[in-house]
Amino acid sequence: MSFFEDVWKIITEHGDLLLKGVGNTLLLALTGTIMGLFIGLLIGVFRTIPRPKNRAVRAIKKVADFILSAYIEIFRGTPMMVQAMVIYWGYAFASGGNTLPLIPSGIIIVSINTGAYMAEIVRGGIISVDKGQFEGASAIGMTHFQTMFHVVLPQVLRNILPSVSNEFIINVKDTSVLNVIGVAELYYYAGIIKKFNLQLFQTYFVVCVTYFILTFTISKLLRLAEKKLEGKKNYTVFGSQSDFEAEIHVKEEE
Amino acid sequence: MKKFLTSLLAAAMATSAAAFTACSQSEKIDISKAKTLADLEGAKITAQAGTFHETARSQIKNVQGQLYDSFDDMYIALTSGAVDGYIAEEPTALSVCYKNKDLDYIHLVNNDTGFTASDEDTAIAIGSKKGSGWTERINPVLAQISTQNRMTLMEQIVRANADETIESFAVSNAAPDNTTGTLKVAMECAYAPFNWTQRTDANGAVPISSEGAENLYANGYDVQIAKYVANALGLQLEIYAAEWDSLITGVEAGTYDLIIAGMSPTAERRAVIDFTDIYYSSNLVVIYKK
Repeated sequence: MSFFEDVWKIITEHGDLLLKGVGNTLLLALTGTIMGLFIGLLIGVFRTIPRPKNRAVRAIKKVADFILSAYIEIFRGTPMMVQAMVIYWGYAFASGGNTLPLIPSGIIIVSINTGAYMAEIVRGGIISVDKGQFEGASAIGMTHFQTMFHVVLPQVLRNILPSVSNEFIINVKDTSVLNVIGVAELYYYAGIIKKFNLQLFQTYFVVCVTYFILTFTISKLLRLAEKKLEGKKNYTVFGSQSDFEAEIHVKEEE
Repeated sequence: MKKFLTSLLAAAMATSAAAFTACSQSEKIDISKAKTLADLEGAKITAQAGTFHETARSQIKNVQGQLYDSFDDMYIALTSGAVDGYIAEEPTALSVCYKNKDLDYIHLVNNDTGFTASDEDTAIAIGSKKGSGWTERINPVLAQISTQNRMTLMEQIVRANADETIESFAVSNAAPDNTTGTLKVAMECAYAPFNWTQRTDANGAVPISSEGAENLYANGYDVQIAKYVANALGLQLEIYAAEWDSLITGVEAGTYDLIIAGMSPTAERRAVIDFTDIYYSSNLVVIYKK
């Protein structure tokens, strides 16, 4: 059938471009998600610092808190496509014609965007840790940072892993908007390939399948990682939409 | 509460049903015999949104159909039968109809049988940053190209776009032995036959210098003109692929020196960037399926 011939032709003739696109998409999504998680954890730790007694320090913290929530609200509340345009061309105008290299600027844009979401995910994770653990940690004389790094964050990481996987998968797909500034990810090459053959449906079909293979593999790999971190049976686990076994354990009716 | 939800659902279904029937009601109008703009009355003719073509489209009486963002989309819309025809510049029509023998175009002549259009709407010129002095340097170079050579070059380009081999282009000059700098030229590399992307350097194509464009080459009418200008000025040509919306911004910011992208020097664009004399002018025509 000619449809499959067209598809095969796209894969054999332009497979090198598709592979390059897959590489860049994964690079952007992976580094963006890891950097974003790092930003989110930092913000989470900072925002839960107990209110300082010293007035000056307290004022500084208030200002920092305000800046952080402004960052979260602005980057969570505007489309990544628009942020890409504003940051990329804003820098070009400010520097008199220099442009940021594309892949690094893509990573920066994805990171700060993901960071804004991650900050909220981490906040949810910290809230989900039982209050008694904070009290216990301070009872044995741990400082805020000791409590966070040794007691709370390890549990937070385990609890938010499904949400982090979600973010990673969303990033794999959403990096496609970076083609507006010319970042050479998978969707960008799809745009080039479709100009060679003028076969929009066949080209995007190939790209669609490629994206699905990417996200499906990633979700299965992350599920494996989750299983590794599962630990004891009596530990409550958060649900995952894609895997029944990840559900919070359901009791048998008696 | 239940009643309210039911009526809400019913209303939503009714509106969507109405929307669907509104879409599907259309009858095909045969425009292959059309000679003038008046013959196109009531036909489903589309045009590129946000361009002068969109304004020209409204000159057709009772025109039907929707607008599209790119020429690829319009090409697909026409070949799939979603529209009766689409508006394009004559070179685009020549190239498309040369490659796809199922298509032809109505030979309209501007301000006569065809669309009312000024020269600056349908001619194309080279854009550069205001006050950068490129215009003064490039105009004498463009003046060396005769109208006859322009036409011949376009015919050759149309054949090159269909993967035929061209021995030598009508507009060409020798590369200088020593270059004194670079000339950064921006274009879409996606607007055949003015500029397009190809996988080899066949027919004098130029490698694209944009990031991630390794092993991709640009060719087309604009590329050959850019080459001619760069050679005449003793500069090393670098071609950058950029989105249409980014072209003017890129030149204003100083990222690119020139726009050679089949761009018309309209009054709105003249307000923000400088334009040289025109390097091609053509008629607006309508492409249809035979």
